[in-house]
Amino acid sequence: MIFAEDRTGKRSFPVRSSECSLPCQKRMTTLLGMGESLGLVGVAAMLMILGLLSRRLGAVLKLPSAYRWAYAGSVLVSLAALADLVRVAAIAEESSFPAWVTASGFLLGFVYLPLSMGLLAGLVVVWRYWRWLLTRSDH
Amino acid sequence: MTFLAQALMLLAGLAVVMLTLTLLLIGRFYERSAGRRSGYQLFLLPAGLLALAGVFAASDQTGRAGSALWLLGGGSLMLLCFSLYRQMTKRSR
Repeated sequence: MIFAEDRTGKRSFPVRSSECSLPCQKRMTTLLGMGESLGLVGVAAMLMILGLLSRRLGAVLKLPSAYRWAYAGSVLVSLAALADLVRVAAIAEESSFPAWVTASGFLLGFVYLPLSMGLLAGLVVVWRYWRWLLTRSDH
Repeated sequence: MTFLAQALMLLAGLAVVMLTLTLLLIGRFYERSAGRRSGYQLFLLPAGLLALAGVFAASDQTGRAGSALWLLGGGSLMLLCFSLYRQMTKRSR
């Protein structure tokens, strides 16, 4: 339990620990923002694994090597994660970064756009290699 | 600009869910054809978390809940993907 003093400094009263000061809130937002970037790294890893599995399937079925699109998608999503990390760091330490890093244009052009393009590349690979899974009957 | 960003984030969330469900289907196919457990049902967890993250990110750009969901969903997805790949490429004794 955290205690705070009133204006006269005589009486103390309990304060909920969830009531965070402004620097504490900023730190928490920064940490969660970095967590979001780590989540994007997880998505990039998924695209890489999808590419590896598609390469094996393509080798067996003698399909054209479209699995490379999944690798390209993984690189694009990794770049989006890196740009997001830079943006979060720039929001936390405004003085160390140029102002355009925190602008909405940066978020759109360097995070959302490469993320969407990378995921689109992954969907193309899924359609070319794995669409038979959707129509396959197991019974 | 904000509308475009929100639309892209919503579409990205949808695409991630579709890709995760594809991995679920790959795991299910492997389990049924090879007769070895792949734990494909666990892919429903990151699919749900990332779907929620996409919705949160599209509706509230600065929300902490969306960031936490991305972290949990992406982290669990990475672990499950590596686990599935290792299981599928492991040589049987």
